[in-house]
Amino acid sequence: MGDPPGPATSRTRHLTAFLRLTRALTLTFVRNRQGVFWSFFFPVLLMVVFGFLGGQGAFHVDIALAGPPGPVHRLIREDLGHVPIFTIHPVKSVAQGLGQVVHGTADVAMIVPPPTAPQVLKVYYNSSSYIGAQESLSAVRFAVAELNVAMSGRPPALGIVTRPVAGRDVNYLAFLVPGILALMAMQNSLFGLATTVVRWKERGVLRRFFATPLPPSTLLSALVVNQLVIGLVTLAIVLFIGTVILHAQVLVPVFPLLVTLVLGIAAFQALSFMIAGFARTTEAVIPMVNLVSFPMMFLSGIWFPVSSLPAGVAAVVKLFPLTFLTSATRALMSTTPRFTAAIRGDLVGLAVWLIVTSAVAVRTWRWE
Amino acid sequence: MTPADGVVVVRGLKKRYGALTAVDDVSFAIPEGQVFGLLGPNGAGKTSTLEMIEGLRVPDAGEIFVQGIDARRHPAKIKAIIGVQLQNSSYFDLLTVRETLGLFGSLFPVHLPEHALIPRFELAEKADTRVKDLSGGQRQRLSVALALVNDPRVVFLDEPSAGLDPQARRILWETIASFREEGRTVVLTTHYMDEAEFLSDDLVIMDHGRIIAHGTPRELVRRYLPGAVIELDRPAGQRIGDLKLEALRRAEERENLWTLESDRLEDTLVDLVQWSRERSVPLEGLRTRGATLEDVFLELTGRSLREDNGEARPSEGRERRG
Repeated sequence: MGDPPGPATSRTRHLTAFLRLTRALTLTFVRNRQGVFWSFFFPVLLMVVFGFLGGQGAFHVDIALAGPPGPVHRLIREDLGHVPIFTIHPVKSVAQGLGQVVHGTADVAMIVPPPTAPQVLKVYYNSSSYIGAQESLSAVRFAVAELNVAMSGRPPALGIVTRPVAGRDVNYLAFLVPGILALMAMQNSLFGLATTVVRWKERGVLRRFFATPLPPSTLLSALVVNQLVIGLVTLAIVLFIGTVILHAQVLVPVFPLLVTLVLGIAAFQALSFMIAGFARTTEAVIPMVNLVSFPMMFLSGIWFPVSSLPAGVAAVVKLFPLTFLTSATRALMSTTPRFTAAIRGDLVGLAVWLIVTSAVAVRTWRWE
Repeated sequence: MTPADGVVVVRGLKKRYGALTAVDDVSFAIPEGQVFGLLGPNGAGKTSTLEMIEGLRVPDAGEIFVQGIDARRHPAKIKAIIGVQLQNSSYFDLLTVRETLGLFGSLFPVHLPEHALIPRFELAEKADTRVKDLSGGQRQRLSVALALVNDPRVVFLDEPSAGLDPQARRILWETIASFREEGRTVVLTTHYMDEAEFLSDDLVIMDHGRIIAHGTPRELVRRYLPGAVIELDRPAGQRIGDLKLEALRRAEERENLWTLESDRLEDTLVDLVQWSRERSVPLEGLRTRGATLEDVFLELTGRSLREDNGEARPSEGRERRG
């Protein structure tokens, strides 16, 4: 009966099965037109909206200005106040200025020295928003240098003329793109994997595969690898649209970015399996996924820096996996295209999430 | 019973879900090439029994041998050689029939090609249709085709005709009969007695997790109901309890139909006719027939096979391993 292709060794058979499953899952993804549409719709829509509306110059520095009134105070208020990117908020005391920096209502606090003291302008910034602070500080440094020239009436030994070139203008789109990539990595994993696995359990798909000699682990690894690859391809397409079509001024260090995103997706996949272990029905899994993803979606620094949250909230939000992923992705794409200590810290955070959620998932997982 | 007594041998099988004993000391041996039926109402333990043999559930006690292999010790070996159709299983909705057959085939060391299976299960017109667009009957044919994908010697079919219209059921019966002609052994669960009667060479009747009768359909009827059955419409104004007839073994009324089981049909009929004359009650819809498995089940349990027996028991397909 039939024409068997001859007994294959079990290893090549598992590989064949793995490849056939991967192909089947890819077909399933591609044929789900609505699914494909929605996985691109919001990221691209957001980029388009902020790419056109946000425009340039969205970068802005709020300065809390403290210190005794006097010529220096007035000069800073007037001269810097005319620069569009600066807004000066005079405050009554040094403490009040520092408080604003800590709470994120000001990016930097500038303390004007009393007339008797040495003419040193103290500038305080929030060290927890390192990247934003660096941008603010360099703008302030530059402005103060020009102010110096104006006050001394002497041209500096080396003058600077700035001209914008197609370089890294920090605007909101550039801020947003790394966040959108991180957000997509999360959403694709949570919605794609957790709901798929629970639906398979509920509708007896998993069960049907258990009645075959396929090791269950092969089925799940095909699913995981497939989701990872589809996720990366989706991210690449969104990144392409963001940079090539909408001209987001971001760095694209391919290898470090790949490592970071793969680690992020893996962490969210483990989280998905953890959720799929708790949820018994498709109706149950969607609210659970929302419960997990909504706080991260809003708070993890996708739309605004975590440092602008109240300190207590920020301390918690900083431990969210999406915060780690967003922070690392944004740092790689906006300041340093290699693994700095700060980025390595984020990656360690993601790795810890991956390990912990995997361990929980192994315990909560049920095959049916 | 030893592993050599049949292609499938089950001894002392038990399965409990919490307080419920779903399968209680079930034993049987199936000779090669037979269609073996497990007949019983929902919740009788048929599916649990099948799923333990298939390696999908772990028994609490008992032994299982399939083709001489210890199924509890080597579930993977068993899965490679048996054919399985499950209740309520689904596949990838967006794959076509052909792709689904190819995918499942690739999971087995030996498999039949799609082009051999598609025409045999009358799926040629639907070969490139996605699974989600199939009708119930077509989907069921795909399920049964998938049970044959690895060219198995033993095929397990769990309620294969559930939810099918009469014509689709007939087609399915022919397919199952053709499995037997090819020398395959078929193990089948059903709660349709006509299906069990038509297809089974040998069958067990299960109730509350136990086998309550075992034999060929003919043997069972002869053993438990050697007489015949008289059916008639309930005569207006008459009560079945008032019937006093010769050789009447049992009288049942359901939905305005009287069912009278008789040990000696002639004597009972004569009495019945006389009773109708005395009371001037016309006998409408009167007919006689031999007893069926349905009657045997009624005789054995006091309940009808398809009657909702009102017990709060999960349907077998949805039980979860705690």
